[in-house]
Amino acid sequence: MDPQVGKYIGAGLVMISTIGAGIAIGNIGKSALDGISRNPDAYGNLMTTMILAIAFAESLAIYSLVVAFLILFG
Amino acid sequence: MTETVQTEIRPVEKKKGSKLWLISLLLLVVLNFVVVKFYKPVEPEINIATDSLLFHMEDGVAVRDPWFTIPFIGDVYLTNTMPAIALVFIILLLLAAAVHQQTKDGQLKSHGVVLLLEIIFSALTGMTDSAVEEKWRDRIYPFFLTVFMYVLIANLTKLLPFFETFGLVYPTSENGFIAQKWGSWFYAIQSTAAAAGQQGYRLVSLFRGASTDLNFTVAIAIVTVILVQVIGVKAHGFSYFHKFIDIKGMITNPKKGLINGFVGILELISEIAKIASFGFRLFGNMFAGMVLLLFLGYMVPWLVNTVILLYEAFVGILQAFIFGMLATVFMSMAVRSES
Repeated sequence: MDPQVGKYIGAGLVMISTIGAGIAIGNIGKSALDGISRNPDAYGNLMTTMILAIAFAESLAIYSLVVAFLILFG
Repeated sequence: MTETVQTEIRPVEKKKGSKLWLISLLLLVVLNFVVVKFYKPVEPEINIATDSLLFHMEDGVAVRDPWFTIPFIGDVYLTNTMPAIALVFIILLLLAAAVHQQTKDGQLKSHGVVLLLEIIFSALTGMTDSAVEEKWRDRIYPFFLTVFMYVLIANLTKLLPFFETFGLVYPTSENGFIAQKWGSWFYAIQSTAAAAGQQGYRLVSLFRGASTDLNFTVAIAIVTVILVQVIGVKAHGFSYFHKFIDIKGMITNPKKGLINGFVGILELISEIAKIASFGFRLFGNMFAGMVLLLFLGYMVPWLVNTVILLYEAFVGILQAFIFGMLATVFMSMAVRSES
């Protein structure tokens, strides 16, 4: 088998870790929506905090993306 | 009890010639199809490491030359992110000159780009006002806004058209593309790979987005984390370091001191992890955007890239905001008095 195949399989497997980030972002969005619908005045504050929390969760997915790029092009 | 809501109905002013944008848009779409038909997109070459602009040829392989050498540290290369950073500096200096021009007479009325900057800055500081104590705002906000502007301009210049596509061409013996000579020194690389016997060429781009270089992002991250420590020391004096290691507490109360020792090690690791997370978050987002733009431009060269460009502009603004916001939050956590 072509050794190149292993590279592509590895890159694909690395991206499985985005499942966790997806669950996290979904939870954050759900809680923020709950908070906003209970207290619509807090919209601005909740939005800022939500975007920050999403950035934290997303950065984990981005790490795996960087690793996948390193496998593919590094 | 009912209230009637009164709404003013204004007559909608109809502008003459408002269809002009539609016609120019259609012309651009047609231009897109025509250009792609006659000049096929070239398969992009993705590298994590940046390319050096100074190189010499050795047996058909490009060998990069150092720009200058610092003794005991090593060679410094003129990478293709450096012209991009120079461009960022020029834009920032022009913005600073515009602000100076409009504020030197001491009057608080601004227009144009300075007004835009004022709106952006007041919106940003309005978001972080709840997180930062009033006493420390004058010290934290200048760094926050500086880092925001620097990262923002670096992220947005990445989307300019001549980035990654315009640069120096060198002849190569393997994996090259054929090139047409359009002038005495001007070559246009074609999409067909060079067959055996043909002379192949490769491109070293003159510009590459500054934040797609890991050195750039990690450098700003290190500066940020060091400044967090500095501002912590400024707030608490030398006792700021008791967060990491508390010798006095260990002697007076060994049981609690032991636990605090472990907590201190964790705190030390989290400071180092901050550098990694700052650096890799920005680099990963921007590099992923670059790869997305280049590959979509190669595989689907019709109209799709326009939408992706808009999305990338949004991501660039969001990442710059997050970078500055996190720096502000960490600094305000460092100055917060622990009682």
